[in-house]
Amino acid sequence: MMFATAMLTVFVACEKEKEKPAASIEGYAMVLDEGSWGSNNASISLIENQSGKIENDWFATMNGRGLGDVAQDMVVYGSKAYVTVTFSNTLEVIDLKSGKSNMLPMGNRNPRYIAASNGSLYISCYTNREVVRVDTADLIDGNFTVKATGTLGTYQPEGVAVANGKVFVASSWISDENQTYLYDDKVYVFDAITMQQIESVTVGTNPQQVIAIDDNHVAVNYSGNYGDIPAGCAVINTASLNVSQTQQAVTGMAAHNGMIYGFNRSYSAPSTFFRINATDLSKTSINISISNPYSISIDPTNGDIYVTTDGNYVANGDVLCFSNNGTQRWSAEAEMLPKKVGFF
Amino acid sequence: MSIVLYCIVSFIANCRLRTGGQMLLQSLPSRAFFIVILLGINLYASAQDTTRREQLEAVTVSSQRTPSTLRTATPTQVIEAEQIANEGALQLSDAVKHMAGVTLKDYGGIGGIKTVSSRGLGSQFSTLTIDGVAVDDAQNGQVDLGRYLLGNTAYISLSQGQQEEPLLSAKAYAAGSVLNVESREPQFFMAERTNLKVGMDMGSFNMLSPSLLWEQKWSRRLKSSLWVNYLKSDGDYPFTLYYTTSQRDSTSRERRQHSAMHMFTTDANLFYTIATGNTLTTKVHYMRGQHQLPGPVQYYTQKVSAESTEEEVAFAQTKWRMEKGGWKMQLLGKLQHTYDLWQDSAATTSVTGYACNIYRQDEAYLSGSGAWTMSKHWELRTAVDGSLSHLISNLAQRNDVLRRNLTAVGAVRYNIGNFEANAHLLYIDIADRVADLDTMPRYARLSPYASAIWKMNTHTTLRYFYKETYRAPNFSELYFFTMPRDLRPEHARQHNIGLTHCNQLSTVNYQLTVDGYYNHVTDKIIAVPTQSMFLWSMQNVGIVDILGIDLTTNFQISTFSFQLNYSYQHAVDHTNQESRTYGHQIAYTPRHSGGATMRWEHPWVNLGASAMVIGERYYRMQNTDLTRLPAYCDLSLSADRTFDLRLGTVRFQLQVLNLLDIQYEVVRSYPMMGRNYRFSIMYEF
Repeated sequence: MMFATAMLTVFVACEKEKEKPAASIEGYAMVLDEGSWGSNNASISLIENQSGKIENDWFATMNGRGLGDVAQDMVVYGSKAYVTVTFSNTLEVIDLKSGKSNMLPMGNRNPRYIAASNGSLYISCYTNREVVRVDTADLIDGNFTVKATGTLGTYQPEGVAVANGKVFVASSWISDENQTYLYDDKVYVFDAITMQQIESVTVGTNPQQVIAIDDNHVAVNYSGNYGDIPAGCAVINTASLNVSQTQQAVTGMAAHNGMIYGFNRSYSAPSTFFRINATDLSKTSINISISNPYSISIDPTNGDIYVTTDGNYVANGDVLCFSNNGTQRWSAEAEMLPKKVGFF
Repeated sequence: MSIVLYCIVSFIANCRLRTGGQMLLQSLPSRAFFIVILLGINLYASAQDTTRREQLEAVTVSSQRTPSTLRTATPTQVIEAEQIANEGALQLSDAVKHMAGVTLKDYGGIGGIKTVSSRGLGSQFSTLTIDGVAVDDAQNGQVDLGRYLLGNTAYISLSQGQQEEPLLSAKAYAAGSVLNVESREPQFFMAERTNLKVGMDMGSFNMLSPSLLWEQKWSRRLKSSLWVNYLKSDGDYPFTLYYTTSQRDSTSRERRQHSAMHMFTTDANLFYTIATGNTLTTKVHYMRGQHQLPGPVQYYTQKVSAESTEEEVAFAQTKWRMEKGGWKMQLLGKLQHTYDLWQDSAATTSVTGYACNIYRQDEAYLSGSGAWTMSKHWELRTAVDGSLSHLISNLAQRNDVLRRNLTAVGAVRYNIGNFEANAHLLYIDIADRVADLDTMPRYARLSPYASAIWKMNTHTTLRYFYKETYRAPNFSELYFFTMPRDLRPEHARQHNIGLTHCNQLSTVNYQLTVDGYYNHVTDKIIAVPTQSMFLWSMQNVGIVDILGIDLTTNFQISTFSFQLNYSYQHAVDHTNQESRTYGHQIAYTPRHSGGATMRWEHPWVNLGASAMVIGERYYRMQNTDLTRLPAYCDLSLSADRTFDLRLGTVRFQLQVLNLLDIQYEVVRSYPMMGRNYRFSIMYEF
């Protein structure tokens, strides 16, 4: 390991002076860089929580290979981080101690979002419009063994969350043969063990992210049709499956302490940041001013808010860290479209 | 050998001059020009103080005169049929990539799309013309050079800024640079009435291309040619996949899949001489092809692309030219139908798993131009073009678009002594009608051009030009997959200053050109997300500054010839000072690139080598270690020999392409072919 690291350092040094990869990743967070389609430039940057010192291309440095084409989602669970790479059709299982990753091919599934609970991973997949459950214990030998499959209807699945023994999956959009977009407005609910469909609940047009706020609440944001049907955000009660609307358009969101932390990306006015209480839906704004936010993540240990920017889709995005009250602590340049920050 | 060659060349020249002499004296447009040519013949040909290029210029006075490369105000490069054959170039892109100042975007293999851009201007500033008639693509504004084959080509010319001919269509005046492919006009010696050429090209990965050229002389006035070509390739070549940007870590050996193509092309031409200096030429072109699209190589996945295209192009164009006294006139017309189908039979994001786009474009085009030599010093030129393009697609919205294009130009040419100046003013007026949009986008613009050359002595010329060009937004930018939006045309300003020189030093004939240029592009159309990342729109936000140098050299020593090109392009984004891309080299544009071609002629075998060296580029707007594409060198060797048979000749050629087997990408994630071979036989009588 030391030798490999040293070798890699030599190689990297030839390219350009670069920091030595961190020997231990304690005190760091991972930034998942989505990359752009067809460019094989998905990546993970390692970032120091305190200083914001960032090491880009960390995944390739540690593994001698790139992450692949379009990283969609990442979940940190137990001693591993799990990453879905949509067009490489892979699940990466990254050991948090060594930084080494075990790549599991997923056939032609086109994996999208990922959630973890009770020793299982739940992954939504474009192909066949399904959600698969796999046991994390089964992934050790390098095979992707599906334990159970839940199937959606006509539309593509996107966000997935697990709460109260149920899996919640966004049924979002699909195109017809000549590429006109069609939108669904539902979240499908499955049993977390058998993946049998329990119900489908109507939330709003074109659902995207689904996150578990706590065991009783799941939040869903929806994009509308980018025209006359507006975007919004709903909260589902996981027991009754009742839906309540937050009356707020939410582009990106994360959960922390019973709250939805979210932002509304605007292309004509300044983007706004806020937190919404999932129980009483009360909203308070957060004083963060960023024109082109791409994602939001919350450090569970101290409530720090990590916001990424989109680099206008042509340049590298930034990661900005704010304390929970909105004071900026630091910012760092990540890579193409930083999508999510994973804490451990 | 060179003497023999020279004798042949001058014999041909004399023949042609004799047959066409009468015509020449009566009808040559501007006497000044005639004098220049005569001067050229006297100075160069008789004194043998010349390179082959000038000899050929002298040769082709009567029929297919290639554009001059030395005595022009705008940098002009020419590749003639002989050189095309020597290099074994099959597709138009094969020949163009050796020219200075061009950037060829190549998606790999025979079937991969190949587009060209010139001097850091977008590819849509480059206009492709076939026999001087513009090939229009209202949909995307760029043409795949891989679909044009060179089997019946007399020469290819690339003119930066402006072509220098008296009779040009207005669309040719409107371009930022013009790549012209001139079809071969049949030539018959003595009593010959029929020329036949039968050829077969074979190459690695099941590349196969039989071709037939039949040229017939029907009467003293009427000639015809028919060219038929079929090209197919499996394109399943192996490549090395690198899993890190540094290319120093994991690799694997892979094979391109789903990349077969086949294409049928035919071209029929009629050449009719109505009277001396009065000609009518007609071309009918038909192409039908199918291409599987392998798509980008995406790490790890086992999924094989299921995308493919089908295309059909049919056009008929006719050109009438008349020269009388100080007058010259040209009328041309063209009708074209284009059919493009794209389909994906494994579209995961489609309800049925199948996705398909169909575009049908019909175009009618008329162009008239005239030139009048007023006096010894002055010449006036004009051209007016009108065209209608109608695009129908199977998209749900904006699927019926009609574009009306009116272009008009007035030009003046002045020459005195060793000095010559050209200027023109171009008016372009484009209006669209979209079935389901109330607004009717319309662009009307005026743009100027000025150039000057000073022939310092018989060897050296100093030149300068300035040109402004507007590039109208195409249908994709305006209507498809984006929010409709008010877009202005992109605007480019080009400045060029250069020096050309040719001379002989003992046994070495050489010529060289060096040009420095500055191009400034504003209102560059860039896609930006609006409302959501799913909804992009095009905006006129980009500014690009390009500072460059093109250097071309050409040496001939006895039977050995050598050409060397070098291009420097400092093409940087100056859109927004706050942006990370500000001051960065624009994507896919090498700062340094160059090429060398050499040929050695020997009675036993002719040997040729060509090398292309392309420096580092970046595949994104932001230049970092991780967006860099490494430099590469593509070296090819060829050997050919022609045998005289009792009836006709047969020529064999063997080529080794990418001899060093260097694995490179022109476009990110589209690996190019490693070492591969081609063999061709051509029988001619």
